[in-house]
Amino acid sequence: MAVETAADRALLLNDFGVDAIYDPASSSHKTVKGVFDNEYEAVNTGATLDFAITRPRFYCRSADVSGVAEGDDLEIEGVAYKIRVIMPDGTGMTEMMLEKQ
Amino acid sequence: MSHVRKSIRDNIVTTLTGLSTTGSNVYRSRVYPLAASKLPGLTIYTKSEEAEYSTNIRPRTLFRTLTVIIEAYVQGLSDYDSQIDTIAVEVEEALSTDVTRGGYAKDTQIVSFDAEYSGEGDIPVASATFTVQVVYSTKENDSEIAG
Repeated sequence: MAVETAADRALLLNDFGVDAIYDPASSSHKTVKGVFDNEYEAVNTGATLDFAITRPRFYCRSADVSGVAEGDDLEIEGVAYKIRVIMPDGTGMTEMMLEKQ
Repeated sequence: MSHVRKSIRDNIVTTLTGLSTTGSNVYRSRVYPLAASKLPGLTIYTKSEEAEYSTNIRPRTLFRTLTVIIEAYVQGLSDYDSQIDTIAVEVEEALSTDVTRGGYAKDTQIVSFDAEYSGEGDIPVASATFTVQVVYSTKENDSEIAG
């Protein structure tokens, strides 16, 4: 059960979030606020070496992206992404794994 | 002079450098992660070797089977599997042009292939491992001359 309200979550994102253009296939685009993470990480596929690549994630209020589907578009700081994995945390927030286009 | 194993490894690095897809992105025994700027790329390792003594009269002859690991690393939105297979064509055909590895070996055989994929990063990545066995021999008291 979430302990904060939707307003609390919006306040958090106002402080730490960035604007993203969310463009679902099923409706028109809109601006949503969320926390964007894009740090370099070592990704290993089972071979000897890791890939040193960035790992983009967007964390926003679930209500702002209700009906989100894999393959929907998201533009952050001028870079286009496809939403590949949707991970609602059950407390009103959703983390999305992104693929750079 | 150096160990015949090094000569074989050098031969494979030279043979695989300049292929159409991977170009100069060929790394010998690399230990650091590969960034996007180094992809598509190949890495080459000589990780293990088995040896058998074939004669009783000293100096004895050692028949060696060297396992060479060649790994391909690629990144792409949708064609990563095709990239891997394109690289496989180039690697396999290049290795077969001289199975004696410049005269240091008796034979070269690709004995297995494995591919792995991941969507953890900003763009999907894939790697493939070619296990190559190179058979060569030396005298036990001279590891620098193939014989």
